[in-house]
Amino acid sequence: MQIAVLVKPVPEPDSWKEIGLDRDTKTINRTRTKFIVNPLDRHAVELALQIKQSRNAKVVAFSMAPVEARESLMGVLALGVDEVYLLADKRFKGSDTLATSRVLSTALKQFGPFDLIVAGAESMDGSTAQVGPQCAVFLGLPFATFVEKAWLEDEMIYVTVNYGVWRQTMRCRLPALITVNREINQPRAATAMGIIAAASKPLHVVSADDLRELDPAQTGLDGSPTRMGAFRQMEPRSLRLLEGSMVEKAAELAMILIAGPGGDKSE
Amino acid sequence: MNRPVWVFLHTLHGHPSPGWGGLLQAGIKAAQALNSGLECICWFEPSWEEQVKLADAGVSVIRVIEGANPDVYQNHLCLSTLSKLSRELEPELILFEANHIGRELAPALAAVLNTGCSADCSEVVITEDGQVVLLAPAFAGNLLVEIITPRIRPVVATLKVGGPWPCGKRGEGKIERHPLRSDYPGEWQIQAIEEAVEQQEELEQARIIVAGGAGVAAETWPALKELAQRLNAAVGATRPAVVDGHAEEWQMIGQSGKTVYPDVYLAFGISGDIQHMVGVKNAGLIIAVNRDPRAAVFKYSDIGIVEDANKFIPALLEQLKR
Repeated sequence: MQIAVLVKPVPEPDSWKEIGLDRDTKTINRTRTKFIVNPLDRHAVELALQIKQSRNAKVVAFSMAPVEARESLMGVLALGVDEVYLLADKRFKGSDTLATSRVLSTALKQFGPFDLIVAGAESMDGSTAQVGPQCAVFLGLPFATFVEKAWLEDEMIYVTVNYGVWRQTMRCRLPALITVNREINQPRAATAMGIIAAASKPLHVVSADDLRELDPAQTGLDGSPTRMGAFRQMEPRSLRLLEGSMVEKAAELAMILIAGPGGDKSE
Repeated sequence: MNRPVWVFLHTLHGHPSPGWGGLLQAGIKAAQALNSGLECICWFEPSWEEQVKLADAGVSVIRVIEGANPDVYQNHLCLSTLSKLSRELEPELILFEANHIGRELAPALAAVLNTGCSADCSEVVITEDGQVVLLAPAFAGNLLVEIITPRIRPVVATLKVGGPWPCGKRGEGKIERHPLRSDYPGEWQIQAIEEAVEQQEELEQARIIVAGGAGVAAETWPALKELAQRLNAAVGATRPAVVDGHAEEWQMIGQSGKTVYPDVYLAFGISGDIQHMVGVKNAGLIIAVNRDPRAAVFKYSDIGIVEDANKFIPALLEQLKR
């Protein structure tokens, strides 16, 4: 059985303040940042590794990121992933979710086929949750997102998804793509043995030219249907500070609350 | 007539979603600015009352999917049907709720149609030359960014908006029926359904919300809840308060939580990060209590009180008991 995991290296939260914006392309300049593996993707890796333990499976991670993210991907090899494909090319820069999904799905096709593809439901930085379902569509696979429980029985995958007011357990035939949330499992930590083993595992750096089926016009900024425009701040409100002692302020606020909304605006 | 604006209405286990009002509101505003019609795709059979309500909200065409099962959610059916309809009828803009279903279907549909999708937008703006601009969160919700889709139609987006249903818009509300389709590969077969017990709609429908952030100490939370009870208010929280275990995940307000629209929003010990404040920007009156006079929350508030929330909440309770 072949399992693919989609892993996104994300800037470490502490380094977010240093993230630069490219003024011309309005894209994010990530090259100087330190990367970690997106937290939800570690749950995806964990699910793949658990399946690997119960079935005879190979787990391959795919990541589209600058080459600087290489170090963070050594981490997933240390956890037990067998092989990593890092899709890194300057021409991918500026890709929106659709263009990113195009690159990832092209690589999944070329280096596959896979019986199961797992990803974290959303990334810590972008939080759009789009790449999973879009890769599934490009691969023509059934998909489920924000899965909180998943298991395999023969050639079927079973998932439980919480839609807020109800929970649905459903199944479909493999191959399929699922994205997982944090309820699904507890990710393991790397062991010393794992870290040593990682050094001898393959980490392929793949460029746009290596992807045979990829149309370069469908990647990067040019291949992205969406464009970022101006950044906006949220509109401020006109503040009225209450004055006086704490008791006076509490009394005034109590009056406002008792009068109800609109009572204050008439002032 | 220009290309229509679509909103996708999928029930939550057979019940209307609390997000439909805000979605229709954004839809009718965009349709009017584009000088086109608002149409809704109903994944359920609307009753006569619902049809009247949709027409009053400004919907010109109610597109009912025949044979759609409103009690469950099967993405292959939604995706097959929506992509076929969109290719046939060529809308300008398709809006989804930024809930689980919308956040899954919108990007998938965009991929089928080879167009762009903007996630979790707070507003749809139509420029004077008729360009659709979506305001979406950037940098984990710390900024808003304008997103355009210059070359391709339809524009697809999920909206994180709340609010009441628009009314008095006099749409025609004409019913058109479309068959359910199932040509997307793969089929999810439902094995079991279980009602979840979460108090989902309490915050969305509350007229008053009392919310606590990192500045509310563990021992103050009971007083905050007492205050909420006294004001007949719902209790909300910021992410740090949820992470610290003072409130439940469903009580979280903001970019990664809920969008609320109460008449009064009381923010105690909340610093005012954009990712929280975008969730309350539609509140009527925002009242902030924070001991730091430079806290960002004051910038987005109508009434400010510079006090330690842990001391102020008991003082306020005292006054309200008088």
